[in-house]
Amino acid sequence: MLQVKGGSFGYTPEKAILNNITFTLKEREILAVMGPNGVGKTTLLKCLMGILKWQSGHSKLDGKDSSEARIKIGYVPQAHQFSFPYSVLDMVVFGRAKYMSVFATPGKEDYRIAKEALEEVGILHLSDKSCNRLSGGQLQMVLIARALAGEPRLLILDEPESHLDFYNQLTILEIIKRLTKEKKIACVMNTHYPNHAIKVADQVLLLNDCKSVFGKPIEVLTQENVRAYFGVDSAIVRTRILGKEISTFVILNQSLSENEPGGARIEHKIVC
Amino acid sequence: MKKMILAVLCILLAASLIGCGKSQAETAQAETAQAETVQAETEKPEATSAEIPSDEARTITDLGGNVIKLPPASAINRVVVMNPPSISMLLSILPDTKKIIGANANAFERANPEILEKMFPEWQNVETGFMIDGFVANTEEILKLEPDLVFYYGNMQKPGIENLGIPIVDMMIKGENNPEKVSVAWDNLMREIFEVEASTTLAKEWEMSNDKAQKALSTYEGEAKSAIYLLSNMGGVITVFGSGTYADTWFEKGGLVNAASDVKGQSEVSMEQMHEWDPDYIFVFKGTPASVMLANQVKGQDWSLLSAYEHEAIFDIPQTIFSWGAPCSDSPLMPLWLISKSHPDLLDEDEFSKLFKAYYERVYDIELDDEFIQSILNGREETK
Amino acid sequence: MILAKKDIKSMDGQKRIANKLLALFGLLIVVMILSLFLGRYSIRPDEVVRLFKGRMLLESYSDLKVAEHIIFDVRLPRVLIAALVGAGLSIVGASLQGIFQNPLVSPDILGVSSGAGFGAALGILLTSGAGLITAGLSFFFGLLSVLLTLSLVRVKEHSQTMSYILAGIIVTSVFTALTSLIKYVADTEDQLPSIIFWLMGSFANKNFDDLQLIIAPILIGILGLTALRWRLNILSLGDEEAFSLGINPKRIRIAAILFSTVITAACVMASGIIGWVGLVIPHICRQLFGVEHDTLLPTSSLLGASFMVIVDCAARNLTSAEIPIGILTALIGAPFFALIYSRMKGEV
Repeated sequence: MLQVKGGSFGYTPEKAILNNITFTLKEREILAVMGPNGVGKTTLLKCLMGILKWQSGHSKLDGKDSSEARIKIGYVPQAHQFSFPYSVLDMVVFGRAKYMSVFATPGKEDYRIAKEALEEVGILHLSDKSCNRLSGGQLQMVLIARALAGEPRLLILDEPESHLDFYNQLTILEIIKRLTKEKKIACVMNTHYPNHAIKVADQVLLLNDCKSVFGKPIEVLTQENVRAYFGVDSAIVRTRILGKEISTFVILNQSLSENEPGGARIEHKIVC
Repeated sequence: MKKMILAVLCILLAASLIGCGKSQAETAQAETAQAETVQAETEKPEATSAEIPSDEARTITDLGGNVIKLPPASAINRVVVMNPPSISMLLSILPDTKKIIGANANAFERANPEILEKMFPEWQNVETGFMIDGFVANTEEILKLEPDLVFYYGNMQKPGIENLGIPIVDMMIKGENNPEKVSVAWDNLMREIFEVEASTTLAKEWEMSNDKAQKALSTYEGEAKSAIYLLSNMGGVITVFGSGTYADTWFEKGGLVNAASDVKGQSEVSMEQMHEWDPDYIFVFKGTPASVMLANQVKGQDWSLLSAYEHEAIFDIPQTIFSWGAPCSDSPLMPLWLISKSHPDLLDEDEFSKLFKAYYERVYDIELDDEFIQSILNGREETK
Repeated sequence: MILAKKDIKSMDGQKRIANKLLALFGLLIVVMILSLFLGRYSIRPDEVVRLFKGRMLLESYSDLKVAEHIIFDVRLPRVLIAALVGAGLSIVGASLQGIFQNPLVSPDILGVSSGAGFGAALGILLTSGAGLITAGLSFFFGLLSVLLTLSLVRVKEHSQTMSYILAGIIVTSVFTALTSLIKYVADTEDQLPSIIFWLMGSFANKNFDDLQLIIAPILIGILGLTALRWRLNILSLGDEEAFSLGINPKRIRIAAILFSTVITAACVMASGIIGWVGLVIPHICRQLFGVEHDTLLPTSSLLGASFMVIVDCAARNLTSAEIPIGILTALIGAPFFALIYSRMKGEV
């Protein structure tokens, strides 16, 4: 459904941030994009949405170039304060804007769809609350509902679980997983938590300055890759808890340079 | 976002304040430094001029209450006058008007050019560019003029001319709105400064004028008629003189009451307010001339429903050596003119013309022909 | 402080908004009619009523000739102009606050007022009066200043709302300086006072000619902004988010800015620079009717019109001398604003 081929992008012509990104994502699949800070995870999302234009390569959604298929993409930004405290329902109805002409105001049908989206994420009861009075988790739900109201084929989420407590992190992830399966959509999300990727993602894209790896979580988050991309020693442990087999990502140590007794962190093991 | 905007605004404000403060401080310093050097320079020749026998040095008290050391009248040869109307006194007093080397350009705007030509032939060549925005003087320009004496009006005009080693004379009597007192005070002070004695002083002229006015009005028994002193009607803005202005005295002496007395000082009013007052007479100082209002041709204003319009009782205040609406050396004529307009049965225009003519012969030794007098009394034409 | 908006979008809720708009419109009509009764020229209320009847029956009363003139040629155009300007400035304030995601933005943020002010000062300098040329110049420079601001923004590749505000500051300061320059060279006898009085803002001595001049631009601008009202919600989320919601924020922003500019320039042309209204009224409306621009824009313009008519009524009635309206809007607006501000609980 989503195809990215040879995508490259850089803010300055000299230095590309994203280099030759290639992957495919099927319906009902979740892709977790991972990588160290500043490596271009958000930039990738912006390129997918068409906010930024690929300098080479392309991304296609259902066979159409994704910058032309913008209407099919729903975006969920990180939760933030708004300049004006709109009500939850108003905020969700904004997701319908792309289907309306410039001078139109939302009609009954739009409100019905917005309410459905709220119900979908389970916060219909918050409809009349002001967005600036919600907790971080609730606000994240509102933003997801807003993206859903746009009836997307592809849902893009920028670190949806950041700044949330354990409980809310899980809730959000469960909702994302459920929606992806039920609504037959594809989903791309940034995350810093390998365990979240293992838990919900069908694919993982591991990014670093000049390279990327794409594949199933357990295959991508190997000891070697994590060491190479994050400079951290890790392991994936399989345990059985209450009769269920669970894979858990465990961080062991900062990997140290063997030659330097001082033990500086290995910055770039990957040679570009 | 909001914080950023706030921060940027603050920085801009702070930067501009620092910038201003600095440049102001700098210019101030530069100015005082310059004033000092100039003083130092001028002190040298003064040291020689100080050889003038000390008994010739004298002090006077100006109208602002300042005591000023002055050179003898014979040594005052270059005079700058910063307030417009008081130049008229000088013209009537000074035997040699060439001594006036600098004036406020406004002094000539409210004057009749032909009279100016007669009384002040050099008026077109007098320096006027030293006034910043028509009000305050530029220090360097003033110094370039090398005046022996500067007349100014109140503390507002003082910056830029004080501490230059040039005697400056304040012509403002604080809180005095009686044009008789003001004009007489100006006349007396000027006579004292230039040591001029004459058979006709403004004080005497005022006495005669007051007598004449009282006599004319003594037979009047009706209710006092109302009038408006219309300072200007320009660009849709109507400005009148209320109470606490020259209008008080003018109308009292002219047997009228100020319809706008509930307004304090100079004030903008609406056309509706004019209707509410609906004065019997309207006297126009400047701006749109009376003729335009009498023709009801003021854009956006309908004058036709005012009584003064119906009775053709809107008049331009005459302008001779200065407008009679302000204190000047022709001030004693103003009340009599007002009477001739509002009570022609008590003092008709012919009689006033005679008084006018005689006044000019007495005070300035200038003969005006009847036609010219008529043209002045006819009011202004619209200037483009 | 925000009134409970119980399911405001249900049919019932929409009706309630319609009711509120109707109530505000009614308030405006009442305020306008009442202000026709009030003025410095004393006309008894029964005379006013008689005159209204006379107008409707096409009769005129010779004994009330002056009163008729005062009510229909002096007060009526003035009240209409005040209402238009109040509505215009308020809707512009509400719109620009949304566009720039900043509730402290006022209609002159992009330099319109200073440009239009400069144009008027130039007109007074050149023609020594406030005729058609002055009005034309004022309008022209109002538009020009915003075009300058917009082109300054375009110079930068990645323009953000911050760029607009900075460009506006630059253009404003240039035109303010130019206005000062004109004041400097203007004739102190008559031009300077005219310029100063004009810049202070006033509805004094306005007539139907002035009304004709401004009615088209202000109404077109108000209609334009009203049509865009819901889109402004999206703009107020910021460019990136608007884009991600499938909207091109640039085009709508430019359209809204142009409508706003036409309104503001016309307002300044008619009545000089009147501050505070465009800032205070949208705030009051946000407190009363919610932050959503769909309702905020129409309510702001209606309430702004009433507010301006009331303030102008005070300006012409309190003393025999005209009080410049800009002074009154600030004196009434600022404390009112402070009161609202103190009641707001962390929400701007």
